[in-house]
Amino acid sequence: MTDRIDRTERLLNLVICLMASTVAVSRAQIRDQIPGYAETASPSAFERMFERDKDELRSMGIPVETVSDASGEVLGYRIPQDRYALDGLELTIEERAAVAVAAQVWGQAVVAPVAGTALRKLETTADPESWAPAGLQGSIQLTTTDGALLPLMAALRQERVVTFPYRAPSEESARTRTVSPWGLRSASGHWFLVGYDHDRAAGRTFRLSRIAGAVTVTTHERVQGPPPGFDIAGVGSGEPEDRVTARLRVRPGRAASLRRRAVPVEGSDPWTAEEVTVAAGSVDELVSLACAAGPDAVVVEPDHIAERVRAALSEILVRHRGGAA
Amino acid sequence: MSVAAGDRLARLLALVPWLLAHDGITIAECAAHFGVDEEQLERDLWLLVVCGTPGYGPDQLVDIDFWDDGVIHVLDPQTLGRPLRLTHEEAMTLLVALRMLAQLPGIGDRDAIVTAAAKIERLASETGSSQNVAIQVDVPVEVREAVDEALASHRELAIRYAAATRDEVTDRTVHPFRVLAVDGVGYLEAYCTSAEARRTFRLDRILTASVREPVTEAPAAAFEAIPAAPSATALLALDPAARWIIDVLAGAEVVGDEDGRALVRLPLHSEEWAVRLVLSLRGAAQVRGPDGLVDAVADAAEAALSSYS
Repeated sequence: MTDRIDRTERLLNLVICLMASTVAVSRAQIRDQIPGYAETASPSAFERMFERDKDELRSMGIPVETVSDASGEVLGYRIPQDRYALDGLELTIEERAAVAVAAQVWGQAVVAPVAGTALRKLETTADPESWAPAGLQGSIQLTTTDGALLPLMAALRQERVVTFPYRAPSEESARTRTVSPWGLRSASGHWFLVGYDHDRAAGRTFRLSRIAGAVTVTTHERVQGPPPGFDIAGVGSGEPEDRVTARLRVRPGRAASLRRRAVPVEGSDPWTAEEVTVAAGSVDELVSLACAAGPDAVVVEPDHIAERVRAALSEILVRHRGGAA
Repeated sequence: MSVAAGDRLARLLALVPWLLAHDGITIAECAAHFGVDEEQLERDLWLLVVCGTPGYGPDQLVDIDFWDDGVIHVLDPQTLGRPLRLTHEEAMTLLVALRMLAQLPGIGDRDAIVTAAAKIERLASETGSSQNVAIQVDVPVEVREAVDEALASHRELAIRYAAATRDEVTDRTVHPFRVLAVDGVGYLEAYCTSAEARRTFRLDRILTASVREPVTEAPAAAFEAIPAAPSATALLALDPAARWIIDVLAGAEVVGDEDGRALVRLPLHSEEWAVRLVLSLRGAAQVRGPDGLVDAVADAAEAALSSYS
């Protein structure tokens, strides 16, 4: 506890000192003048401590500049005030309301304090009265299962490899995955990480809700970046697979889940049609869709899908009517 | 340990400029804004006033007066008068939220949301890529615009809705109240004249929407409370291939294990919904109760099979 308070105090004094000086502050000056460093037992302990502090400030976005002479000898360090301070952002009063609402959208999520700090900073750029809480009409909440979001955002920024325990749908227990992240995407409320899976040596999609523990941002640079033309907004939510289609006969006014996935056909309204062609990411997904519709839909073609649906329905019947089937 | 120190330092650096902009604010109000309790805020202020530039004489320290009636005045901020620029993650959390708001109807001034997002995006781009986090709410533009207009003009909306619990498409007339979003999924809360009750519609299941001519006020029944979660439950045995539903179904609870199969208790929203869920799992799930649901699944599978014989 005491150690933590001392560390914050030391870091804060370091920031003020490096900002206040117009010239580089040398390591010796830092050690001698800033409370907390002089007490370290040895020069090497000081070096380790200062390196760690400097990294921490930089990881917070504080521009700690290293000043060297012509021969490359390090003279010292400084924080230029113009690079430190938030600048150049002018929001209209309507935009301030929008940003204030956006900061609230994270609700109780893990990232909520991050959005809150951002808003506290922006609030200093205009008259406080003009930030009056906006009339957020509904209750808007972005996510509650976001523990992995911040480390993954940090890894994306630094282009670092991450590892995390992940439980695939078909696996009973979690396995550690090593991934070079390419992007994060939220679709219909589910968050996905897209990246290069080191074990499979290919691009993969991971669902954040299946990450079964902490995300570790390693010190390794990512081994493979996204393919040319990669657009995270256009990535599907499933594993990349060929699309498969089937034609089904559907009962009038029923099987909405199949109708809404119908492949558009000229001159045919999927909401009233007697037959629809449905596309899915995999055979399994298509079989699931057809089974779920129960007696409201029958697969007309292809035969191998119809056979899979028939087999699945038979299995379901056996498991729910025992030997009587 | 280092995370805690970093978080606190970030707060301390944000605190000074914020207090300068809010001169005379109370400790209680300030603590609420920063999401800490008053004791923590006072500890933060005590720490700030012992920090400063080397020498640390009286005029070299951060000077904050906060012992007078719980009101705070910054007298000398030293170098901390301006806020640190946004970190990449700070800008991105705001940007992702703005991008989501821009896709939802009934939120307010969409133009302001879009231009604010563009400005925050410019800030985010200074520290990294702002294009590698995407959010998609799946509301068709026509539906969004119709809901916007209906809410703004207090008019009724004709919608075609693909219900999730009953697998059917229905045409309804609704009187919209508000839009809400839970876990990134948008909903429209409205009085449904067909059901004569308040209903919540998933925006991504509204297939078409159009605004109708003005009518009278919504009936009083419109203001009934939202129905609570169902108290009935179903018990399922899941093969490994079906375990994923535990993650995606709200309220699913693992209650046991049986030779590698997970025993899971689920809220039973409706029998029809549960039957479709079990059918969609292609035999990898077995209903253990209630008995009525076991029979309903068997009946549905049998009826569906008869079409293939």
